[in-house]
Amino acid sequence: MRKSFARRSDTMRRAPPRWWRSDLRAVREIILGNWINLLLLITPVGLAAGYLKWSAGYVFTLNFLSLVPLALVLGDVTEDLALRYGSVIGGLINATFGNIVEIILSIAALLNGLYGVVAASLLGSILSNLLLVMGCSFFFGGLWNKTQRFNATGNQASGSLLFLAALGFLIPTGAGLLFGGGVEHDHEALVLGISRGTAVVLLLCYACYLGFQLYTHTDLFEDNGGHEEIGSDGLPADAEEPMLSLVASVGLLTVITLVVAVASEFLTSSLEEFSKTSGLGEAFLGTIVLPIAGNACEHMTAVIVATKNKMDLSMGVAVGSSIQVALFAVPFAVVVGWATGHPFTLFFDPFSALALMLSVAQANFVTAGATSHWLLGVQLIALYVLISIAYFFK
Amino acid sequence: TGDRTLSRGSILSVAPKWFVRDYMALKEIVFSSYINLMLLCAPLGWASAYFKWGAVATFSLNFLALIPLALILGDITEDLAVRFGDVVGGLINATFGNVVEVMVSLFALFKNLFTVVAASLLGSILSNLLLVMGCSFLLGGMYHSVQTFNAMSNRACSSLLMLACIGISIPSAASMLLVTDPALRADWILDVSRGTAVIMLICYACYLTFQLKTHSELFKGDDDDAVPMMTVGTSIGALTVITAIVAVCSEFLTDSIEEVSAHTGISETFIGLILLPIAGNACEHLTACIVAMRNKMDLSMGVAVGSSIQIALFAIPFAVVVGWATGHDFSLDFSPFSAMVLAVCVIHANFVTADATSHWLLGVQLIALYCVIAVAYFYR
Repeated sequence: MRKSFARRSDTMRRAPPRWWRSDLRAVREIILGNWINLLLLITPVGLAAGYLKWSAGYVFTLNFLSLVPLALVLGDVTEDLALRYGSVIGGLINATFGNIVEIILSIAALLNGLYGVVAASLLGSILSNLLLVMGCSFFFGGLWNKTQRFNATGNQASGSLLFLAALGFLIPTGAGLLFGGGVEHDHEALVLGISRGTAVVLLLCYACYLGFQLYTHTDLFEDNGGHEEIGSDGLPADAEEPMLSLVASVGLLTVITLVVAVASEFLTSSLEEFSKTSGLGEAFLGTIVLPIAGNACEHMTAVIVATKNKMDLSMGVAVGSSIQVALFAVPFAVVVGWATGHPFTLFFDPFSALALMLSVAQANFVTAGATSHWLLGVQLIALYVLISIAYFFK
Repeated sequence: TGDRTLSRGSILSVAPKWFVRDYMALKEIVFSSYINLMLLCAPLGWASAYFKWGAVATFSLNFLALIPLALILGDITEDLAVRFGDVVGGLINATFGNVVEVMVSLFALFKNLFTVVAASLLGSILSNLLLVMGCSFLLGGMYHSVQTFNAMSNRACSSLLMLACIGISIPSAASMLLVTDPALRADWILDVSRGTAVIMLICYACYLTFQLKTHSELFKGDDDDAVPMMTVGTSIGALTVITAIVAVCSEFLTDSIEEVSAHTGISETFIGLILLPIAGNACEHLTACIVAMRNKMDLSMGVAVGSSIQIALFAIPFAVVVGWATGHDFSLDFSPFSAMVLAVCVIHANFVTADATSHWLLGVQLIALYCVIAVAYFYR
């Protein structure tokens, strides 16, 4: 990370003659900035595998691997674009594109009619952010720092928002199970109605959350550690300027989003067959494996900043990402299904709803004191492994 | 070498020889409490089992004998632990702290009384978390208006308990909700239980490391002036003898459970969940209440919560692993009601202790919850 900042400033100082040349250099920096981007070489192979209809195992694995660097590059370009605007619009752009891979993946599965996979991948994404990403950042942060602190108010607001979202998912499932006993058709209509109503309410809450985070209470979410780090490199804090021109970043975003969409399409359409040939259940693939692709980027960032003792930033990535998925991606999938005639509901299988509920409760207990140490990290990771075991043997 | 220098010193000084001191120490341990009068129940209990005086007599006598045995075992363990540093001493204390519960559950396991194993371990967690903690809050609160304890260690412990409780609930909940084919259910639960048990044991090891090594200052008691009374040989010898006696009593006790249940109409679940933990926890119960009245809340919480964590993260997965090794298919398949009760209790205990302060009303709440649960199991 430090290296990329240094390079970025070199680019700025040299004052390049043409916008396209500086853009080219910036793209090169983004791509060469991380070893994981070597996996980009897999992308064309994965797309070819999808078009030429290779066996499901290849299509799934190759497209899965190619999504990891795409999510990373997408994150970099988004951040660059966000720098161009103030903290409000920039924050909005960051929030919207931050989980674009998860969202595209879930919409692709939704349009393929794989409702179970949509639900599993979104729930799995919340669990992985909340337990695995946060657990790893507590654990690795705790190895370098004995006790770490983070902002209590921001954490409390986020924690109870997540709890609200978990309750929102539990209500349609619980109502479907407990109100049941009527006519089958009425029952489906009931769950669909509740889900769509819930989705609208959750989207409103998401809007309020963005208003809170970007407008009324911005000071709670500011990462005061971020600028000091650059300062230690001997550069002023405001050296963070956009590297890409507006056209280039919008163009790049469009192109990468399209590639992500195609790769997601191949990934989800090969999932059923891959599940049969590999013997791994669809629930396990959706809940545990798919979220890895979308979350790898957040995972790395959160752990790296945690080891540098910037816990507010680390928590922001882990918890913020779970909130986006819970309050935006999930209800968004319901609404998209509504608009396109796919009856996707929030009727999750009861175990998943229970697992989510308990995980959110546990995460709230763990973060209640606004301090962290390595044992808390172990607890979160262990819970994630426990849930994975249950899905693995399903 | 510690005891050799000690005994050489004792020869030079006026102090009596080591075996005299050991004898006096043992005498003090045995005669220090009236509860130890119940030791007389041990030979009677064995005689009852041998001469077949009836299941109820055998059960009651052996049950009563376990209470002073647990107390003495605790005293000797502490004496031995004082001799070693914080780390090894802490390990000894942790391992032998719940040896009675572990023994009883293992003997029940070998007799394939899986419901009794599950019930006695769950009951032990509930009794430590609700009854012991509740009583120490209540009794401590009678002498002190508000008591405070260490917030950070409490939070680490309570979220660990929550983790254990989720781990315990997942196999039973998931088998009900995920697995539709009843034929596959038993195998599935067994696989998941064994995986879960291994992870919980790893978490227990992490917890010990945290408590004894990386963050030990959070858990330190303030009375470090204790001096061992007995030599290592005597302590280990006494530990072995008492553990053997505990084993025999546990054997007779678990042997008679089925018949007692049939005779008296009290269900096996109630015996396991409410009665058996009384024997194993009496010692912790006394200690926690006494130190709470002296306003040493960190110590009191350490006993109550630490003991629940040991059962949840060590004794339960240990029973699963021992069953795995010896071919007993013990799994974490608790009845849904028990799993729910455990989850609700752990959450309630977390709410009650969230502030790291206590007063008598919080104690009443915990005791009341325990009584409500006991009533539910009694009429089951």
